[in-house]
Amino acid sequence: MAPIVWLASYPRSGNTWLRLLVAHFEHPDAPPGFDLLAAYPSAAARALFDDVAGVDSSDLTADEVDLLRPRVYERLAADDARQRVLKVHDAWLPNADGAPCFPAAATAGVIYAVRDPLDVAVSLAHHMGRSLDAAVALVCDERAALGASPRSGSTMLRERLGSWSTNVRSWVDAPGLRRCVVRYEDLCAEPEATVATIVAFLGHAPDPARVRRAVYATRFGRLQAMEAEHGFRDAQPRRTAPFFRRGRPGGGREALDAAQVGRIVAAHGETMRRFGYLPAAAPADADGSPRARRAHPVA
Amino acid sequence: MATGTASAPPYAYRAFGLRLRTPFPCPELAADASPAGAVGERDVVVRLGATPDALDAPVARGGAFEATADELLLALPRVGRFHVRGGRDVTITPDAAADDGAVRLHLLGSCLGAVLHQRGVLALHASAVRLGAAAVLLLGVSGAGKSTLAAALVRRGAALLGDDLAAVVLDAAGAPRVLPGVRQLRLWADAAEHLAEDTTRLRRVRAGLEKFGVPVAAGAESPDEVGAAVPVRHAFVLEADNEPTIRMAPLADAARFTELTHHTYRYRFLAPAARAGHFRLAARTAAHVAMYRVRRPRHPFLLDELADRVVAAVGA
Repeated sequence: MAPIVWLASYPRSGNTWLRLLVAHFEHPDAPPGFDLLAAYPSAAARALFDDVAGVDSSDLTADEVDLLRPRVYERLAADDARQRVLKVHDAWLPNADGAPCFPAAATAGVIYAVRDPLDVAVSLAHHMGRSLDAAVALVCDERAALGASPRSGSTMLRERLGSWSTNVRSWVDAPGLRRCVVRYEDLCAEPEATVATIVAFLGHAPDPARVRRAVYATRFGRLQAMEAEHGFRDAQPRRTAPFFRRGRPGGGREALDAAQVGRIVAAHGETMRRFGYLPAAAPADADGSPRARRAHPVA
Repeated sequence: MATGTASAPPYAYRAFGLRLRTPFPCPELAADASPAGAVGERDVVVRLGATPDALDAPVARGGAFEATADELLLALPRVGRFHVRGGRDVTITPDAAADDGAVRLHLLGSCLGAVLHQRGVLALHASAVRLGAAAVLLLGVSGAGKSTLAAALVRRGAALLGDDLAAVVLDAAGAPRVLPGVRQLRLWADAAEHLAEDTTRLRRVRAGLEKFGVPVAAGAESPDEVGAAVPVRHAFVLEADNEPTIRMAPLADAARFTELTHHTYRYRFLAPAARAGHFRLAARTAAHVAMYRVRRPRHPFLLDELADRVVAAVGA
């Protein structure tokens, strides 16, 4: 019994949009709004961990919590026969005992969302209300984590992000996991085809009308309007822009300067090439000039 | 001549109407001054020793524990294993690297919670204070702000009855009363500083966490009052969200019962066979208690306004 599907990604890579798409596909008659996300929680939600673990995780260090995470997810998988989709921003990493936090025994599959790290960095800067340089540094930081050193009660466990390429490669190359890799850019360019692939991976018949309705219900303008009217619970207090800010790809090369682009390409060029964010043959070109994007087959 | 009586551990404390006998000091607890004597019905005996790797036939399981109706085995990596039996015996095998504070945190939390479940006491994930003549329960998930709100109420003259774990029993008239528990507030660094507590002078509850123990003296209570169960008439379910204001709304009957069961302490510890009794206690408590749902902004906490509104609701 292994009914957990991890919906994993580095932050700002389309995870929320994917959850909303899946939610609307699986619940086509639900009223509009963000409440559907409650049925697709984060794997790092403290309440979920505490309930299943039988201990208050805020009385444990983050490393001790990670030692328990494999058992907690296995127990979650064993208790409930229904397939469950959990959001993850953690990289696929081992705990201090060397055991993967996200064990194969609990895993039905992984949907991994990848996005051009140049666009990710710009989106991060807006989401966290920090400078572009700070966001570029974060994307290159192997030790990046969310919620690492709390001085107040929090509703989330620590999430070890790793650098952007560590996050990507750790999930995409994790041994023994059935996976479906989705490029954010493909979701933007060909939403219905991409969603059909995802829902089929989840075991649903990809009924075209249902797919179309899910895409329509989560179109970017609609998400922005809903956020403006109702707010959005995942928006950060220090943000300098709405959660649904721009959406379409390509902002990275426009907003980042040559040095910033160079830093990201130097750190992540190999993984960028693998997923079609850099041309395969030519050396990395850091002049910031806009490039035509073509969908590349996923490696 | 007494036979087969093991010597009792050297330290004795009181909590939840019980006498807790421990092999190590527990500065968080009030000392029990009653004569030592043999182990009685109100005693909980804590020892350091060997614990099993697993239970034979667990009826409840979680990521860190297994349980039957009268046994709990809790295994926390790098902290230790805790075996609680019959609401009376606790054996701890501490990990070699374990911090004493960490071991005590889980003894006074999960283990005492299991003791209460095994004794048929209603154990709630709540802080409790006495405001005037009656107890007030502050229910909520981890991070909702129970301890911080309790601290603010103590500043306004309330007496602390317990933090994070509250025990409710029915008195002779069938009305609910709160048993005084561990009378120490555990506050995160930000909350402690907000309440103008100097964290350099407070004891960290355990190594590795920015959480501090704030002792709360029994104050003006007489020795009889200190251990007595206090009638409870109000409960507040605390939630935090991203809205900018505090919103308080009364809860009707069915919702009160639901909230009490949702905030059961370590709900999963309860064996299926024990649930009916637990729900009965929750239902009786719900019938006697005025309950409110209180939603507060995550940022800023609006602690003073929150505490004032709770005091006003209790006084009204």
